[in-house]
Amino acid sequence: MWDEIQHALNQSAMRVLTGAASILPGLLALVIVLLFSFGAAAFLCWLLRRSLQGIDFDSRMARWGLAGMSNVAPSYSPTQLVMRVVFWSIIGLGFLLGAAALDTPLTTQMVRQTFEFLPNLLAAIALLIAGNLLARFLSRGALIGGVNMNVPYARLLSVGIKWLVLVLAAAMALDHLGIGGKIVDLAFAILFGGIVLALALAVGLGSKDLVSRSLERQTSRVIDEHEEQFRHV
Amino acid sequence: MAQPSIVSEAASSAPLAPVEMLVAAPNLTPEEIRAPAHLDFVHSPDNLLEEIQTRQARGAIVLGSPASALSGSPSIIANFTHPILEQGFDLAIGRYSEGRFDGLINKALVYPLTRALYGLQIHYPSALDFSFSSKLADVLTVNAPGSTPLRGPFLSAAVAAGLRICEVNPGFAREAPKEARDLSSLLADALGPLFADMERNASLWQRSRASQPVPQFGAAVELIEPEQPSDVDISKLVDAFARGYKDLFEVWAQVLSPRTLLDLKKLARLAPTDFRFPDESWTRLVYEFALGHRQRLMSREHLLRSLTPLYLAWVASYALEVHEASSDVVDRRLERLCLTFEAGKPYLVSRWRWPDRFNP
Repeated sequence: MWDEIQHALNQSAMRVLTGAASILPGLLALVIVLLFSFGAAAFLCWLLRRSLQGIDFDSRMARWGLAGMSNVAPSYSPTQLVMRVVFWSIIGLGFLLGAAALDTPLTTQMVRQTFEFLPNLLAAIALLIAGNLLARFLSRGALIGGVNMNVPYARLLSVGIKWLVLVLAAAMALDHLGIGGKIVDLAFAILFGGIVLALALAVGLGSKDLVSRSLERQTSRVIDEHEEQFRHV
Repeated sequence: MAQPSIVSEAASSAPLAPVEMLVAAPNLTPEEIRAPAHLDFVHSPDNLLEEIQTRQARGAIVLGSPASALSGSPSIIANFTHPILEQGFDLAIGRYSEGRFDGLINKALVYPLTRALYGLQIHYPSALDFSFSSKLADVLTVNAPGSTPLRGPFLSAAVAAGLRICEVNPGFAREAPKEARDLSSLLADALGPLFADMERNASLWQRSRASQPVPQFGAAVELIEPEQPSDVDISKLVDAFARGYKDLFEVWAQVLSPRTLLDLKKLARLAPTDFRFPDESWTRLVYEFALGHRQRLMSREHLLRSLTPLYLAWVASYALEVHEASSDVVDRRLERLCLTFEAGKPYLVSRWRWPDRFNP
């Protein structure tokens, strides 16, 4: 019996050692790839920092209304955020390459799924950036237009439009990524509908006097003499 | 008097006889214009530059004012042809008699800015009625192809080419176009081309120094007083500025310097009876908007429209100062504003040339 136990232990030890020996080159390759990735990432980040500082990237981002992204990480400027994203992306890519070198079914599948997911991720990021730019543009236009039209709720309208567009962009990004499924659809519908309803109520209730004055003016054709006092052209 | 012939598409296939000058008046018919025989009528001014070359005309007259303003004066054509045909000028721009509260965008922005930039005291740089020579037409054809009268950079092109410019009193009071448009659109239409012109001609306007008057033709212009003087109510204007200050301050902060923002803060605290917008602050503000337009600090349309509450604040301040003043005082008031624009030009030039060195 002791012989059998010893034989079983020897076999299991042999299997473990064989398995470890077969995976060791892959592990070594993973470590080397990670070290190389680290070096490449550090060099690229240094190059990137110099380029972005040369084109005054931070102030350009502020001008385009994207400085708000640094609210996610207030202690980092846009340049530092971009550098960190690039750095960890290169490290992540190196990890995937190293994982592929292990040549096991699990790692092979993981690498394949990651690369299949990458285009969707990039498209979702592009959607969010475009949505952010569009939201800021439309909200600023609504704010300026509302103020010039003496609309009392101009700021509310501007904020509402901004969040409508942002919510729409976020829902489209999540849908593109296939995250959340029907829960995201439902939440988006409720949120979007709620914002639209709130804006409609605010505009409708707030414009009562404006609309009635406008109608009175059209029907009675009374011209306020003060409105005609200043001729701008 | 011979009826002027109309240049139409149907007749364009036959070669047309050379004429002295062409007359373009989109708001009038040939019967209403009563042009002499040596002039020819062109209904649309859009192809006027080509017609001048085709017809070998010595120049053209553009009458863009509303028909009601043009119909009362038979000597309009003569007023505009005389400087071009007989005095040898290349551009004769209309200068009108008007009231103290007429043409406020021109008084507040277009005239002082153009005068400071190009060094010429042209009172209505964007006048709808003017005449020009074939020499200026050739300059525009080469330097600004596709430009049309009423939309082209006539004044800056004439200054850049060193051509002779004068003003002419056309003989009628200026009337605003009847087209109903909101104030922010009017401001954007007035300032957009002006700021774009500044970018195109930066090397030109940075050179000129103190402004010079230009020769005047026609009767002397005068301030038209209202039949019945009325009180000025600036409360709506001040309210519009206050609303703009509350809601648009963040937008203005992207364009204006801290010093200008501080001036606006002080202005927002003034009571309507004490509402005074200093000329220095207004000048600096306009220049900073021009710089913001050039640097594309935001959408240009948004930038120009956000100026509306600030412009209304200027109008309120101007109205308080001049509503009971004599015509001399009004003239001096506007002259003071123009001199302030000229005095503030070095600030504009330095920030234009070295935008990165601005340190508030």
